[in-house]
Amino acid sequence: MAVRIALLTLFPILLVASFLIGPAAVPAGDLLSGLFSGQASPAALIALEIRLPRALLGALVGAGLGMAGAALQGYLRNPLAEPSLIGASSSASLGAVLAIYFGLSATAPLALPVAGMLGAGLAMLLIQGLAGRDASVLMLILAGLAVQTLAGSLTSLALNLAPNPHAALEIAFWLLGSLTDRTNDHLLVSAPFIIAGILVLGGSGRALDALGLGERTAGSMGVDLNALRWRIIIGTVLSVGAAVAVTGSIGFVGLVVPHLLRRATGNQPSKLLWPSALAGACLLLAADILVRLLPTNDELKLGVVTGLIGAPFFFHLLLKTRERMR
Amino acid sequence: MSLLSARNIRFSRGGRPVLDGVDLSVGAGECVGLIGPNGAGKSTLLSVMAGLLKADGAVALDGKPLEKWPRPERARRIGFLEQGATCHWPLTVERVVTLGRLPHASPWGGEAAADRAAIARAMQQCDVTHFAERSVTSLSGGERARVMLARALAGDPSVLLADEPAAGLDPYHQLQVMELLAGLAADGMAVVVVLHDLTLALRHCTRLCLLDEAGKVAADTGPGELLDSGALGRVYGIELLRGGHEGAPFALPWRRLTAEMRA
Repeated sequence: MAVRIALLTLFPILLVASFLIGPAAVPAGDLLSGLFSGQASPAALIALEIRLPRALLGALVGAGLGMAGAALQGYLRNPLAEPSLIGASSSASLGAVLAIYFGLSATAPLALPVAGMLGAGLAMLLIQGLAGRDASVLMLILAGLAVQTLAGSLTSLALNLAPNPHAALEIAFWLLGSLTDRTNDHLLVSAPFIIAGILVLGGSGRALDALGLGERTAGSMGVDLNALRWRIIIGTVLSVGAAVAVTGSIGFVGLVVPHLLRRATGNQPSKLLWPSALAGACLLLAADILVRLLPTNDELKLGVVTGLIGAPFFFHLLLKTRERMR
Repeated sequence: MSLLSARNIRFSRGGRPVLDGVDLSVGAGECVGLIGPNGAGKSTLLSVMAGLLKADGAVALDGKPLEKWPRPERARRIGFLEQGATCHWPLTVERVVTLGRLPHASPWGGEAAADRAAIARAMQQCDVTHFAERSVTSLSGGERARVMLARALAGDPSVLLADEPAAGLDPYHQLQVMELLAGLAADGMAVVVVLHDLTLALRHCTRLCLLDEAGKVAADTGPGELLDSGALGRVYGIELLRGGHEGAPFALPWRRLTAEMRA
């Protein structure tokens, strides 16, 4: 309960802070009045066209990644699982890169999220096929690694064959993951899918709780295991696919967030889902504020920052797991 | 009348028949022991009767085919206790038992008074109340087995299918679990329990169903009649030491039968 209250307090603060902070030094009052004035003043333009979509997109993408991480960890019964680990993120990236590469994203705005979701969807199906119906967690993670490698290679191929250095650079920078210069169009094409994905995953709590007792026991308690599998796949594809497609790959949110909250939520998968979505939003907003405040020449990419936070965390988790296995 | 009945169940794995035309039914008030050598298909039959495994033949709950029951309703009627059941996450004992109410949960969530009463009763029956706040992963094997049984009982099933609930328990807790199951049956539950311990099976079950290695029912009768028939020794390939105490028969596995003795 305390966790929920803390997150519900923190979230609006970070959302407003993300809206108020940026490279253009516009007074907070001008920005806020610009939101509602309906005038085409520079402050209103910055508020409506730059700051608002960036803040909202950050919150949504973070929520989607946090929720997907919590749901996947519950489903795979493994605290190391997260969307990028099982290849969903890199495959969504590949889909989006191909959409950029072939110029689809320039002609049809919806092409980007759709390509991202297609990439993530194909990856999840491929993993299912590779690992088999009654896959062990190890098989799923190895299959995820294989798919991730394949998607990474194909992404490199696209970079390699890029028509000019500028296009290659554009793709490379995009891949790093960022919320910079995302517009209302990006928000509008991705938000419905991310929200749908979050809702689909958010409804899996009870089944995930039962699954913690083993598949047969869960089945005897009335859980439709096949339906649950599809729910997790579809929810992950929608939320992660659409998120990665507009922001580039932002890793480790889905790993770090559920792990930080697990103990506080009594280790119960169902109680972890919604707080993880909220905390994912908070983490991404905070990281996005950080990249704008850091006095670097070029703004650091968001995906780089979450990676720098997340990778040591992953090491820490592995060491802890090793200790427990002894 | 039988609550749960399986008729002519056939199931093969890898071309080898595991169950070959098995019939088993259990009615309210019965505690049926499912016994037989390793690999005779006891656990498989239990899974089929719980609706977790598809096999040829018919399983009916209250006379209606099992597959016609809506999933949640079936889950409320049939409790299932997996062999070596465990919990993957370090939940508290109380939360694990609470999960047993899942088949009864309303879509809007929240625990009703009936839920709390069922949880408290199940925890008391299985003697786990005094460590309700401990993490289930920190318990000994015997303690965990009782928590898992409490989880199954919290759902208030009318049929309980338990796969070796006494395995790995010390004699005190073995007797506790078997007395509990026999008591539940006496109060009107239909219980099927897979057992390896013949002494426990003969002492606590009202009826015993003996499966042989070919996946057929070798005997399905009361404990006394089963002992008199000599089927136990034949199917297990052992000699039994028989006796009686307080008017009830018991048997101890005494020695293996050699090939000549079998012939």
